[in-house]
Amino acid sequence: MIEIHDLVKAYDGCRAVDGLSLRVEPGEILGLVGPNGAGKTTTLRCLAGIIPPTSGRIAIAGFDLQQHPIEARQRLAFVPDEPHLFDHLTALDHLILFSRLYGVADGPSRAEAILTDAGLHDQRLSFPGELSRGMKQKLVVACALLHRPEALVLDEPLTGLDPAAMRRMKRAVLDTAAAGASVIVSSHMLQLVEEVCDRVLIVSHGKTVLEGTLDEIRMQIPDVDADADLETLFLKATGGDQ
Amino acid sequence: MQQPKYLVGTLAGVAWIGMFALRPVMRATRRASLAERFEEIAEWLPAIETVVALALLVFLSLWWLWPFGKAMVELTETELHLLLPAPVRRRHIIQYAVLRSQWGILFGCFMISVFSAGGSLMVFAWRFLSVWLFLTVWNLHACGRGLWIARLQELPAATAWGRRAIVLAAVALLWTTLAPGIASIVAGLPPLGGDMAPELRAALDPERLRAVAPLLVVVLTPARWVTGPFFAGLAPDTTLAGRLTTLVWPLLLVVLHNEWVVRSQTQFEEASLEHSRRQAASREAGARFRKIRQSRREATPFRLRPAGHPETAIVWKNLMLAHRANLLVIVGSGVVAVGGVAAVVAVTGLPNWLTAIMMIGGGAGLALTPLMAGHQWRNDLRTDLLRIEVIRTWPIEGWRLFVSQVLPPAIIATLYAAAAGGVLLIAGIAAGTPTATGLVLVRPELAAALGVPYVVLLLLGLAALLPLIAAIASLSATLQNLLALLWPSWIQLGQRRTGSAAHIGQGLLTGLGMMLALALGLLPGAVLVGAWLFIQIRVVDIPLSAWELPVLSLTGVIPLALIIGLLTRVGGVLWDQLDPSAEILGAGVGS
Repeated sequence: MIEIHDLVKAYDGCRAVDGLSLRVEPGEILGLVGPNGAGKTTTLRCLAGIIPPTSGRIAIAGFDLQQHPIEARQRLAFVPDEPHLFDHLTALDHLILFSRLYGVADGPSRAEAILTDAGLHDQRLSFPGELSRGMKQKLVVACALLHRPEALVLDEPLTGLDPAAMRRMKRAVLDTAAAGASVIVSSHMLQLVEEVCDRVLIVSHGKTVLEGTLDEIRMQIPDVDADADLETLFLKATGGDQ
Repeated sequence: MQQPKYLVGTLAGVAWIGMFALRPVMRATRRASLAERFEEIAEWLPAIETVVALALLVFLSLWWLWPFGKAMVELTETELHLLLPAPVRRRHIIQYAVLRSQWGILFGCFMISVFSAGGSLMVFAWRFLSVWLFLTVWNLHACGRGLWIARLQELPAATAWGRRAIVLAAVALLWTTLAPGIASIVAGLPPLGGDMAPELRAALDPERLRAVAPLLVVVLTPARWVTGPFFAGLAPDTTLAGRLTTLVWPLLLVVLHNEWVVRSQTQFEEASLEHSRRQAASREAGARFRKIRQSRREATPFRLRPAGHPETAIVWKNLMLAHRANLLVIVGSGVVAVGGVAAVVAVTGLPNWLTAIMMIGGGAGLALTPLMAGHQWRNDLRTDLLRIEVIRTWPIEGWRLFVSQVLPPAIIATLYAAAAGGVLLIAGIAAGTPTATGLVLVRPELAAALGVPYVVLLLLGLAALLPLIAAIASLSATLQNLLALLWPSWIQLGQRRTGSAAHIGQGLLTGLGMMLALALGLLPGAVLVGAWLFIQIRVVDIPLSAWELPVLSLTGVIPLALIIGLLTRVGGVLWDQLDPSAEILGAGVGS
């Protein structure tokens, strides 16, 4: 489970995240959407422990990120919008590294299997500089899923991927949730969010604008069609249609 | 200057540099000793000026014979894309590139002048001006030569060969003048040994040269013009008018060189674009790793098992940033190689010159490598901060992560220093053989006084140095990583590259701060060892034994280890409290 309560992150007096709260149950996928500068990436970075929040509480699988950071991080996987890999490590090295970092008992065999599943077996000894953007993204996701996280956070996971890789990524997200993980997907690709997410949280200026399933959101916005898609709802909710 | 801590750092650094630069002014006795030293140097100035002019001319003549060069109009790709289509004359673009290169030159002049002016504003100003003239002429000459060589590629072959022939003829003519002159200087040199100074000065004296090799003096004149202001500033009896006169010719050379460069017809555009692209590609992270052969890509410093302390994984990862070779194999083969060579050298000896080179090289490597831990490979936070979105999510306590960042550069530096120690050991053994003359690493009498054979003393000395080296390397790496956490904007993250003037200045400030911290860190250990020796030798009156050396070294290391332990805890707290949003993520240094 992922819980955020009254999260605030301020930079030089400006509140990038302003009292945001959310809760994602095990097996559930939450879509986090909002216009540029809404505070999505800042929220996810706070959630992953990359930047400290100004105030508020974050818990991963019941462990408070401030009080029990090691236990919380042990259960979390974060996939940033840019595939940050180590230039001097091969694809296989990355998985060996993550096996030890997260204490994956069956690390070597799982690493080989996960490389094969991701279609990277032929690139197991390739350095990131020799991989395409899509392959790098696959490797980042492989590293993230290696330790079977209870919480998965993805920031713009489909950026730069070809259609086949997009499909594989969506499958990986759905499978992870099906295995019982709580998943947050932040994306501007509203079709993806609509397709894979159980609930959607629309944020603007660091605050929650709307939250719920698509049907619940439709009911909260006046003057929209009963079959309005997420794009229409998003634009209505954030004032982007004006 | 985004945060007050940078202001504090700047003030501390400026105060430190100021103290260094103004120290001679504040200390009258030192001023007197400096004056004496300058008087001594003044006697040598004409001879030094001759040697420098000669060296310059020899170098330049050989440089022009070297057939390779680039159209060195250095502009970034962005500048080229903006400037080339713009309605700007090409000579103005070249002029812009030439002026742009002045930033580095001006900064270099400033630093040289600050550190050599001894606190005098007048000396500073003259030094700045004279060094600027020299570097500017040099830079323009290099630029002009590069454009000239690139132009040869564009010309028809016959024309290009004609121009090459002219240069060859000019160089040949120059050497027909230089060679007899150099021969006459060599003939006047005194034999080695004894007090050579007066005869050496006389052999290089310009007045004597004017008499015995007048043509050489004429040929050296342009080189003397360039160095003239600098030497005029050093000569104590040169009047202001005399100094100002020396500026005329180098200024004229600057103007002439500048016209030569900006009027070049060379098509520098493609070459510059290619150059800037190549530079960008070489800076691209990971370029060097792609060259590793497939068969070497499975090699690792040690086998990383899935279970165990997670921080070991970071040590494993960061060691591979320097080398993928197995650590045990490196250490084992190093010990076998040094042992084997030492055994052979103990029997055969080495030529004196080689022993001397090995002593200097080994000693320098042993002393400097630990201080520079991680500076070359940057296999610590300086590289990992670029991946902060990954490493901050790892389930590791802050201090453990900090230790795992400090260890790899310390291990690599210790290994390199140990190799240098091996070279020094071989040189020491060679110096102890009967064939060696006049070279001493350790006096044999000292070994006898300490009650061990000469070679055993060398081995014990090396054994005593290794823990100390490892501790110094660890302290150096700890301090550098602390600096990266405290002042990330002042530390070049990622692989080292030529920095801007600002980066060089910031590096200088942090480097000076680090040296001060290292000195302070080493002090408690030195005091402890000093106290031990004092009590043993002066109070208890027990003679020092060679076998004590490793124990003494370990005693000196204990306080150092405590300091490192304390600093790693501080590093851990800094890591836990780090907010990378503004300086690392927001500032874009992490992208």
